[in-house]
Amino acid sequence: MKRMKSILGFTITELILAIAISSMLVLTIGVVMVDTQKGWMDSYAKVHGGATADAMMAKAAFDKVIRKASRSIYHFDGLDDITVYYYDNWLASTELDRYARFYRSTDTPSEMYIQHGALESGVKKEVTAEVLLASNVADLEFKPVSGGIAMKLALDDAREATTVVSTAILHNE
Amino acid sequence: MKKKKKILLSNRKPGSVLVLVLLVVLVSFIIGTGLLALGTQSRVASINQVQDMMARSAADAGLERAVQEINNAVVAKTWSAGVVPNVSNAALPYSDSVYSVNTAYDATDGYTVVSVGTDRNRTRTIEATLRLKGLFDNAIQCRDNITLKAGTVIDTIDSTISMDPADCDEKSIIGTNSIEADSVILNNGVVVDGDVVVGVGGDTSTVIKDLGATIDRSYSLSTSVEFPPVSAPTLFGPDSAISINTTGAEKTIGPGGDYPANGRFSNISMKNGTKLRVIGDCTLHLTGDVRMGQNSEIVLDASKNAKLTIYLDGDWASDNNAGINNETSSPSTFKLYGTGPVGQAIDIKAKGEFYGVIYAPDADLTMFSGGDIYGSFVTRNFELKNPAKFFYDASLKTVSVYEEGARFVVNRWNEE
Repeated sequence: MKRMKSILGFTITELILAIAISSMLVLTIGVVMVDTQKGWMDSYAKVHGGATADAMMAKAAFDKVIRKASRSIYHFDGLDDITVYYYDNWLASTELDRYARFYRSTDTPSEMYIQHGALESGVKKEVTAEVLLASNVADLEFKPVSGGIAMKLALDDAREATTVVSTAILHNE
Repeated sequence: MKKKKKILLSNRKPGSVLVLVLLVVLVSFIIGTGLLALGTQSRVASINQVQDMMARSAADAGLERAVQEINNAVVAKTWSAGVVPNVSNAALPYSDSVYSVNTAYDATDGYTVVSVGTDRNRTRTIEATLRLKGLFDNAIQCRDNITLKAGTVIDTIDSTISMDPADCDEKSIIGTNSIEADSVILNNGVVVDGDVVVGVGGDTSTVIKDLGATIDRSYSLSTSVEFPPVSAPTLFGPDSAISINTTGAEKTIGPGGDYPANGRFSNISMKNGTKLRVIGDCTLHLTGDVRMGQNSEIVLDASKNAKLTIYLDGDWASDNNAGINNETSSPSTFKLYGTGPVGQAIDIKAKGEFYGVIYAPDADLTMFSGGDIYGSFVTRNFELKNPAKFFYDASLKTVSVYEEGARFVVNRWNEE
């Protein structure tokens, strides 16, 4: 009987130890799994969307428009609202006939837009396009620098926060 | 008991641990592959972005280089239509990027530059046309302060069409590079038929002290106005003074005159009531000062096709009722270049109307005119002492490559 007990049963100490070790193993594996999934989600968001992708898209749009804008004149309407002017056709247009406005929405301050429109003799005409450049805007600031314009855009979508700073030179007259 | 133990042992299925291990390996493999793919995508996106930026920088550098090479030839007075910088696969320093530049010049359309920047497999192309820019693009342009007397009117004419501002559609611009408060003082009744511009980032409401002026628009510059350095041409002697010491006397300068048309002089000194008549095209380098006594006059004789260009190292002082009388009625026939140090003082008067341009980027210019002013002033500080009508001559924007301070700048620009 003594022998059978020693083969088929466990002491309370053995059980507690086994449970403790198992718990630690499960906990460790759980943490690793959660970390892996979080890493995956973060990486996926960075590559396929999220704050970083939004920021890069906004930066690309800013660079493209500012670089072709006129260095003769632009207008600030607050730190987060700037209008620049450019030629629809860089060779054929006889005067600045387009404008682009980068701004943070007053209704939804977490959104940044670009608005394109027609310009006639310096007067704004119809809006031709309005595009949402970025959501989750935490901060947006434009600043004149000699020869160009600098933009600081901070985005925060709770999962990740990112800030891009870009300076583009105004090339057209 | 032995039997029972055997049964228990024989119930363990062989290979079950292997299945578990394989399962773990499979899951790890899937997770690892996914992360690797994401990482690769992220890296490829970053590499593309960096390469795009490098290609763009290379294209920008190509255009800059072309413009610089052309302007080097302009400054060195060696420019010709044959100056067309072409470069193939030039390396952008400290990078793997290269750029190629193709420049074409046409007497009618001017310069067209195409610059292609390449970084590995990414390419950016920039096209631009260039135009000649002179020293006098604005009516009044200062580094620091502008003060206009009450009642001053700033307007634009085109002397190639007429001297009537109604015949010119162009707006006049007065501006400063300064962003300091009260840099531009527009007294009551000042009218600017055009814009008032202030330095980059300046607040127009503080930089411009508006005491009741009427202007079209005010805004801050996107680029600080450049003040290219001007130096006197090499002129040999006589290094003496142009001096008229007898009251009421008149002397001439120009071909066949009392003084040679071109030369380097120590100074000009004119007693009260004297006259210096300019006959022909004259260029003077004055290493000292100009002193004009009361009622003295420098006359640009229209009948002799007078033109007077002065490079002034010293100061210019004018006593009461002294002045410049430009009978040609053309702003481009009197040019004064201030080549003195910061603080150079230029005090110009005109008995009647003043026609001329003054480029003295380090000088303090005060102007008193008995009549209207036609031309353009570029100085450090400018004060108009009387309520004159100031007409900017838009024809001053049309310059030749051989004119003082002319250089090519990007006019139209496009990126693909």
